[in-house]
Amino acid sequence: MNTWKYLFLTGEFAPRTHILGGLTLEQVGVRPIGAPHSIYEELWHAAEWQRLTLDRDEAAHERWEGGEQFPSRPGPEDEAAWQTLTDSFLAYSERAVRLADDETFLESDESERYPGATWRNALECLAVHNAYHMGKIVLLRQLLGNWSPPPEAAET
Amino acid sequence: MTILQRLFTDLEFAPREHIVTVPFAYVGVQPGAAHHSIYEELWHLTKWQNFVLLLARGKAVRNDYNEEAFPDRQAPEDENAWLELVSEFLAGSAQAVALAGDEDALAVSLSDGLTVRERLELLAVHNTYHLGKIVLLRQLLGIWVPPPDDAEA
Repeated sequence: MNTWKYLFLTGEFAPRTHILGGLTLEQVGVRPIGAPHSIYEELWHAAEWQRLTLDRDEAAHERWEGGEQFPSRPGPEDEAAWQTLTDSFLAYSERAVRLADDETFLESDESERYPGATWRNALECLAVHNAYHMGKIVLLRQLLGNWSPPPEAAET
Repeated sequence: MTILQRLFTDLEFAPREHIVTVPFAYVGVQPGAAHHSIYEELWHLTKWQNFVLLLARGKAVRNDYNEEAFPDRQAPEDENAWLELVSEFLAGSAQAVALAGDEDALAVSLSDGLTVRERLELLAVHNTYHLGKIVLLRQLLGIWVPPPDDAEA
């Protein structure tokens, strides 16, 4: 098993492509009563954190630390914007898996985020952060009546 | 504590103990069309955590363990049952922390071809998926109070 592919794309719960597929523009922008964020907001947050971490985008990191951690609107402008976001999240998840193929990279220093951290640590944290928001997205889909586990599902 | 250890305690989102400290009256509720209650989510992740920790410690495990298992009831029998489940989850998390702090143990290859570290990474991600659901369930029920300095909603 390629554990990094499992952690970022396919395993421990539904494939990320399944979690993010088959949603309407209206559904991704809705905040069910009591939910602080919509599906779009949850994914934007996860995607932006993943992107700025892997790109080492210091300017974006500063904006993030300054409170810009969610988008300015609960839903995307249009379907193309939603597709762009999902494509970007999945592309960066695939990039994380490719980076993790390099053992030297994994053991290299990433102490900008945490003292003594390696890139292995950073990718572990990223996979966990993604999972937290994927869980919320799946529950939001259930609330909207648009969730069926994939046929080979290990998780609901 | 190392980063891997802290992925079982407080890193990336609210402290796990804070998340599972839930008023009993709400643990068996399925708000709206949610598929599972807080109790069901915690039961599922706790039992899987127990199983994985046995694997990671090289103990014999059942080959037919159903990783999709959820309890046969939506709510615990009584408050004692709930508190016991919470204790079981936290005790398992403490075991994961102890194992994650043992560099020699982390490198051990298990019979399934994974290392102990890889098993713990997978476990942390699985736990987190369900803890994220529990946080949102609490928000939907109006009983979520973020801990101080919580960077994650």
